[in-house]
Amino acid sequence: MHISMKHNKTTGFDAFNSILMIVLAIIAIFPLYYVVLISFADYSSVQKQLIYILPTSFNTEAYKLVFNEKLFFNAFLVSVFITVVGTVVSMTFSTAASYALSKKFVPGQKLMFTLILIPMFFSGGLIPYYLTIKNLGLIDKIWVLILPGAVNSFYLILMKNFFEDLPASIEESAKIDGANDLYILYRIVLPTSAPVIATISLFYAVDRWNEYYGALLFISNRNLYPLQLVLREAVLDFSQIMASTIGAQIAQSNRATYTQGLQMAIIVISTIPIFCVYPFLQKHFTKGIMFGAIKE
Amino acid sequence: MNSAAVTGKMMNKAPKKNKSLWDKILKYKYFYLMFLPAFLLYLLFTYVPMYGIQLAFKDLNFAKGIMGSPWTSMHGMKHFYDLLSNSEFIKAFRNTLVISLQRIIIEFPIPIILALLINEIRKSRLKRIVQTVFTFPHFLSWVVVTGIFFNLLGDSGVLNETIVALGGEKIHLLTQASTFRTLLYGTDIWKEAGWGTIIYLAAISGINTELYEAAIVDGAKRFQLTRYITWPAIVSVIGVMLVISLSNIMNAGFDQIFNMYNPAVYDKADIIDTFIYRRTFITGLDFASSTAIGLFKSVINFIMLYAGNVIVRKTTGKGIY
Repeated sequence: MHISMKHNKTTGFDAFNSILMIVLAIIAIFPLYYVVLISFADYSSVQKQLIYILPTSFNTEAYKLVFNEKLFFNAFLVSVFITVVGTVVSMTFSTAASYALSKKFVPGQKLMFTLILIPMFFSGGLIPYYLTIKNLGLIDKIWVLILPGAVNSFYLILMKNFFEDLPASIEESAKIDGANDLYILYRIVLPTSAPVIATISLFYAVDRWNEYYGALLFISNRNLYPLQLVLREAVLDFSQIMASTIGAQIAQSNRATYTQGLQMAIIVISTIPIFCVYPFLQKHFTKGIMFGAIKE
Repeated sequence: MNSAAVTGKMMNKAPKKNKSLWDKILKYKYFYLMFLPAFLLYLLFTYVPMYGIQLAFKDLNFAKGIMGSPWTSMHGMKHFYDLLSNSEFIKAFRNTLVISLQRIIIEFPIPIILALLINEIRKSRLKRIVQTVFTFPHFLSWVVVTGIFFNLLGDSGVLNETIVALGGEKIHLLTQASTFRTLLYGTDIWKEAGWGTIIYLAAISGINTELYEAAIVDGAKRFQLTRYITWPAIVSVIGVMLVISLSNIMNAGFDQIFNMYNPAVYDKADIIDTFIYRRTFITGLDFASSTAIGLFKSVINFIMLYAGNVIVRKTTGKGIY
């Protein structure tokens, strides 16, 4: 904060605080570093060394095995599909709904707002939800991974708050020209809302990418498993993965299985997309959250 | 603002037009159209299941469906009576409460402290790097985080390698009931503490900088700036976050525990949600009594939301509604 510039001396506290923050950042990064390290490690080197903590060997065997595994590759495609389609569906519905909610002069706005607020604090619970999905015929359909989570009350409120703060003047001039509210939303309001659009898109995309629970409950066809569910099996129950084709591959390659290396390779691959998008959007979402959260 | 008040205001402004409510609804028809798709999704996936809650008071008959199933004995309260004599449920209930409260005591203050410290960093580049690093793990799923820490803390992970190298005995953190909760809190802090700072940093960034400047002119020390300007600005945010935590008291972090726990630690880690999951999908017991547990949970959460809001409103003058 530029205020503290006024207190110009670097005090003992500043030095202490900087060191503390750097140490904490290193602690925070270490688990991630260790994942990458193990995913590229050579099994025999790991076994030889007392503590394997520096990249003293390099082996891409684990990645080759993972990429050659049909189950995994398929799951990757499923995750990409639900992330892309899911985010588009979510954003289409959410921008429209939150824009409508931001118009307090519309009769019934308060009722609409209450309708999206209630689910934040009360729900039917797991069993009625499960039975509802079943009755809708969504079991084992890919849409079950997209539609139920397509609108999120928390994100709607963030966007609504953002839209409320937009200067009314932009909309008014378009209205005088006779444009309808849909046109105004998509042609005038959205193009000026990049920070909040980027932020909420990232949130929805990450939610879809990290999806596993809906799939665990509702998907039994292994061809429709998303990445996180396959990963979950690989982490919690490695024998399940060994029973599939990857086991045969390992047997063929005639090497000792390095379970951990494989698990970490899957984790790296499933984390890379988030890692790539995150730095570009981070600036936006801090801003976007501030727009939304500051209000109240 | 209710619609009558809106109409009233409009009439005052333009008494000649005298628009009816229906005219206004027609005028704003596009806004209703915009809300419609989201509304339908809420209806299907949130409100229809709420209607299914009545199952908690019924004996499910699959052939007749939820609606046609008969009410249970004891005026429909049978499932609730049964639960109170189910020792496994009592254990899960106790674990849920203890874990939630310990999370509030141990985990809740950390983002606040972290935000205040981050705010004090003078070098803006370091500040940005630190924030980027702390926030990132929030975007990883619990499946991934579980994988990461099982690798790190497992029998052949770097922790045990180090312990053995130093001549110690391996510790089985992942399957050891006595330390399992510590593992839960530690990994949750790793994943969420950085993310939690954002809301506080947002509140701090909303403070008028003139306040600080005036205080510095008056000779305020840095600690005093934090104590008398920054702190009051985030107290109401802390209150709101506390109410939200209290309203989740019966949740206790299902996503995390569901991925990390195992039979060896059920005694300390089995919570209501994991109990419901196993009961319904693994051991395949009665759907109806699991619905009753879900309802029990929701009601307590709701009471805590209300009570928490009253308390926070009394102390900080601002609640969440």
